[in-house]
Amino acid sequence: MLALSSTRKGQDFLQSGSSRHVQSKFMRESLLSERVKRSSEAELRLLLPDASVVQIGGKLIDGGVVTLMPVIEEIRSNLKAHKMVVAAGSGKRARHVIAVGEDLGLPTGVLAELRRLDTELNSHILGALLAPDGIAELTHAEMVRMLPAVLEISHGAVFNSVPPYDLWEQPSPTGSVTPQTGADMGAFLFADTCGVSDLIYVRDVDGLLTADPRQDSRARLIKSAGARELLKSGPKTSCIDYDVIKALTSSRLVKRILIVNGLKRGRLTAALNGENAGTVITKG
Amino acid sequence: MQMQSRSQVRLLPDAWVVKIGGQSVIDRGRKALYPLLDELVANIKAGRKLVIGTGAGTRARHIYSLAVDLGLPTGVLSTLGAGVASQNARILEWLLSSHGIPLLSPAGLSSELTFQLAERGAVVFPGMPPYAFWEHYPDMGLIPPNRTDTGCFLLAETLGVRGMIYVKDEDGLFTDDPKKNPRARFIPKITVNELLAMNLPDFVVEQQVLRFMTMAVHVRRIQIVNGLKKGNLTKALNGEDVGTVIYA
Repeated sequence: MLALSSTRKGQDFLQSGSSRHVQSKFMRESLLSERVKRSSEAELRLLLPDASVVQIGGKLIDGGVVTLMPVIEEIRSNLKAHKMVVAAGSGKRARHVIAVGEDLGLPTGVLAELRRLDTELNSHILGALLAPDGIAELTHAEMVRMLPAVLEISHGAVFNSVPPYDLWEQPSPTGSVTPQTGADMGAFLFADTCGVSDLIYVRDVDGLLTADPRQDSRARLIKSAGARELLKSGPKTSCIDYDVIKALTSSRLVKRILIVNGLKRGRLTAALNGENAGTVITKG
Repeated sequence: MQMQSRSQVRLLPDAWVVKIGGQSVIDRGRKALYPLLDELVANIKAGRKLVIGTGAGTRARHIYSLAVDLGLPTGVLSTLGAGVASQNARILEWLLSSHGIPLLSPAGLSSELTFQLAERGAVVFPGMPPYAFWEHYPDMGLIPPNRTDTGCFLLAETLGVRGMIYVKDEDGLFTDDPKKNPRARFIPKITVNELLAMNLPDFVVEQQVLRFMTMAVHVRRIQIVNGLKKGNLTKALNGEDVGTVIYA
């Protein structure tokens, strides 16, 4: 039996046996039943509806001035018109440290931490290159607290696309030791939480292709596809983590993913303007 | 370094992760918590290495309700739940301060855990995983799927500890919520698959834990004990089958 606690103003909490509860819709619930989960549905607010997440793939960063500066220049040229949250992807060094760690028998959570630490270096590089434009590099904690103000002032921010999972990285259903929640998923999860206007992955290829062009000269660009149909039939090669395409089928706020070739001037700009300048993968 | 039979090493094979329930224990106040803290200290003094995680509880339920009402995304709820787990970790830290048991944040767990365990024998940490805006949405609704049971489990798995013990306010797993259904039956031992096949209306531990156990390398067994009954935690740390054991 619940009894109201004594004479506190407002009677905020209730006593049940020896337990003090704060009165609320989910009071005393384990939060694990279907009924409670269903009752926690709501229409979501968009936290950053005017911003886009633009992830720069690790390969473009590793390629140095030749591959990275065209992307940086295009980002700079779009700062006036667009708010961009620039996510730094993981590259060769991250793969190296994971390989070293796997050989040493380090657990998945530690490998995840090492990958995040390495990708932070890519984030530092992007931050340095965009510094003259007043773009700050934010830690994950700063992203949670300060991003809206930073975007208002600078129209941009740089962050580490690898999520802050670290020791809490989840075991893989495939049994692989390699940490499964990488840079591409990190950008996706952040975008789905914040309700951004677009999620754009910048790569050194035109988009999703039907095959690896180095092995099959007939490889074509897939201009547009639904996530479900892609998961059913292919493609045989993907420039973004396949888990992102899977995640898109159950996303809440991300309605589509854009992939553009950062080495071809104008493609990123077109994507920021809402056009398909590469591949569009739609939810569903 | 000794080669171990599994390719992934156990980083802290002599330590235990013990989760102290929020709603089930800490929200009950002095009557529940003081004897349990005495029992924790006794075990630490006897040489047990304990990594003590805290649940969230009734205040998390309140703020989740508020956030859902306001249409805030799951990632925001994750940061809110983490804040409540942190409050509880602080409560434990201050109550244990004369024993010099430190509180470690997620960053602290990364940089100081090994040192503090060697020096102090135990640490306290907030049980929520630090996913924040990078938390997944659940299959249904908006409550973060990876909460304090899961946070403690994932840390236990990464550290390759000796065991994962959940200290709650029921004897273990029942066929229904014993607080609401007096005819609920107690289940002392069960596999994850058997448990899922029973299709119970509610769960004694977060579903993600059951999922991850089947994929884990090290922690494939969890134990749920009633911390309101003195001696149960000690028995579990001594390897006895008290409470409910769930295994993958």
